Amino acid sequence: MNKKYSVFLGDNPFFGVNHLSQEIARNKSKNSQNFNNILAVINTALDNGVKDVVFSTHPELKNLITFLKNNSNIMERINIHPILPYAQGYVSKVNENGMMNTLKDVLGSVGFRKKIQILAKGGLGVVKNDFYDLFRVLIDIEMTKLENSKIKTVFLHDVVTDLALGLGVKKILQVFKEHIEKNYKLEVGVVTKNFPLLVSKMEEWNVNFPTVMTSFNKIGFQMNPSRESCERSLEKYDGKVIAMSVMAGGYIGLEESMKYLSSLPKISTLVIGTSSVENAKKTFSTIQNLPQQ
Amino acid sequence: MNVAVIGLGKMGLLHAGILNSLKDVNLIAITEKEKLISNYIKSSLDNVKVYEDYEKMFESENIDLAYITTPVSTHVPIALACINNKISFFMEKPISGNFNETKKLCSELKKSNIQHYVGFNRRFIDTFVKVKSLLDLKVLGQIDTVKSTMYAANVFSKPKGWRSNKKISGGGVLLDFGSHVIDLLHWYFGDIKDVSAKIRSIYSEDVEDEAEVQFNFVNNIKGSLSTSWSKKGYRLPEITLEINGDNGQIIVNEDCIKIALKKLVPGLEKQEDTIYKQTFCTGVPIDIGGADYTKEDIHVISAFTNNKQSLVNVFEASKVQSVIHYAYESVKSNSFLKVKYIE
Repeated sequence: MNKKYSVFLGDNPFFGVNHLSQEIARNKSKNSQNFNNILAVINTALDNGVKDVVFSTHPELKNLITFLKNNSNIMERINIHPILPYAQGYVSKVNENGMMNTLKDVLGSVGFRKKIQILAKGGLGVVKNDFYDLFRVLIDIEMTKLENSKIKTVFLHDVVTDLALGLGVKKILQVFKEHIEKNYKLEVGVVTKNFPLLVSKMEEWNVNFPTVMTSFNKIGFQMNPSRESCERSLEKYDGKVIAMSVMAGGYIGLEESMKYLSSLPKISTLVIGTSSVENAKKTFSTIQNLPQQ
Repeated sequence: MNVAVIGLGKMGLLHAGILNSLKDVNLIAITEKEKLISNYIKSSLDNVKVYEDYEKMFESENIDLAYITTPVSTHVPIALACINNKISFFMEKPISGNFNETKKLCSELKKSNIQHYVGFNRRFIDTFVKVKSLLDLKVLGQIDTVKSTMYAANVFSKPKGWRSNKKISGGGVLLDFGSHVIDLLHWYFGDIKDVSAKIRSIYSEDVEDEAEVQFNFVNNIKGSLSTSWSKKGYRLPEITLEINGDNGQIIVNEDCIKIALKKLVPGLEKQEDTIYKQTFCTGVPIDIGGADYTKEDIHVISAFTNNKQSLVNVFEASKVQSVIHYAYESVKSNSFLKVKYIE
């Protein structure tokens, strides 16, 4: 039976990410990364019932938010779901430039008042080489980019989630959850490419996340260790699953994708990225108008 | 099977995470000098011993396989210590920035019976694997030319890190990116006869940011490589190979394979086709930074367990080092130089 889906707009195409082809992303990039185009896409999404936007903490995010605030009232009308921290970027920077240079760069991206506040909370830990204090500082820095936005759920970046699962480090998930819930009073979620492993570890570690964003699509793209295993874990998991890569990065069509999702009763929220107004109109109106049987 | 990881930078963390989740693999120890990371591992992983010095780790632990994921200049000294301690190893690419050091490592390995692997993970990307099988089927007939590129949008100001310090990195983009491409080309087309290169520094002072390389294979295929880590629009490092034969052309990158054939041949369904990576998608036990890394580690563990030397080994990787060495030498002489592989 078809159900009413809640759809989130994904930001990947705004920042040149295309899971089908980076060549396509490059060819589209001039228009897709234009802030006026992004504003138009979000407006189109809103017109078609999409009120939630997922933002990963890309270096351009702060400029985009400023643009949206200065040129529209759109930030008052949408719910933001950030994915953070951008661990890969930090680890690369530490690899290349060393810890202190990286911290200087990262702290340089926030205002003086905020810098003092952040360092007062976590600075001592950084000096003492406490990874978890640094982790909290990085979260705080990224959250400053979204100040005065309507943030709904804060998601832990998949690279961090999946590394924690691989290494078997419960504390990363615990610290993230506690920090967001205690200091920001917001809902928490995680993004993962390893949904069954996450479900089993949450049970083993007794760390429960009420929302998980993970891939569900007909061909098993980015579903590890297999589509079947992810489907079995979906049955076990009590929380809400937001399905991403539903069209396998654009490899399968919308109709075929929705037909597969209709076979998974527990999924009623999807995240779909697009950088074109026309495509946003077509995709979101099609999903909102799926026949109810 | 007991595994240790030396150097917990980006690649070390990635491999440690993957290895720790693979069946029959025990991650028992790590070596890391950066306090932030070593303290983190000490406080988070009860079963993993943390060392600052790999020699001490080798003395104290019963290690079957060591992963060397440190900056390039330390690869060979650590690998030589592995040989002395009869410990098999995996090292990230490239082997070294110093050709004589690579020769020494090859020479020592010939006298030992340990297993060794080099981290050319592009050999585990589905599109490149598929093209290897198509070339083995000779779908393009006689190959004439291959044009290759590897670009990324990484460096647009004077870099601060070890990669731009020639003493530590051994070279610039030709060594770092070029080694991936030259490895794939060896895998596809065999040995290279001669090479000529031009390099250019734009932002880095000590190493090159761009390189243009021409080469001829022993089987007379003509090849070229253009590489840069200062190319706008390339969010991720991207390899493209354009292979031309008397039956048509294949263009392959990490995302897809574009095929245009003059005549349809067994092994393919269409004369013209684009095959996306999604065609091949199969899950992996854990995906942290890309399924190719997991497949690479499964390959390493499986080869070790079955006591079978991997094809992605130091001797094979030394061919890449040889080509890059003569490419750098050719810059000085401004001419084609014959490539002499390490024997």
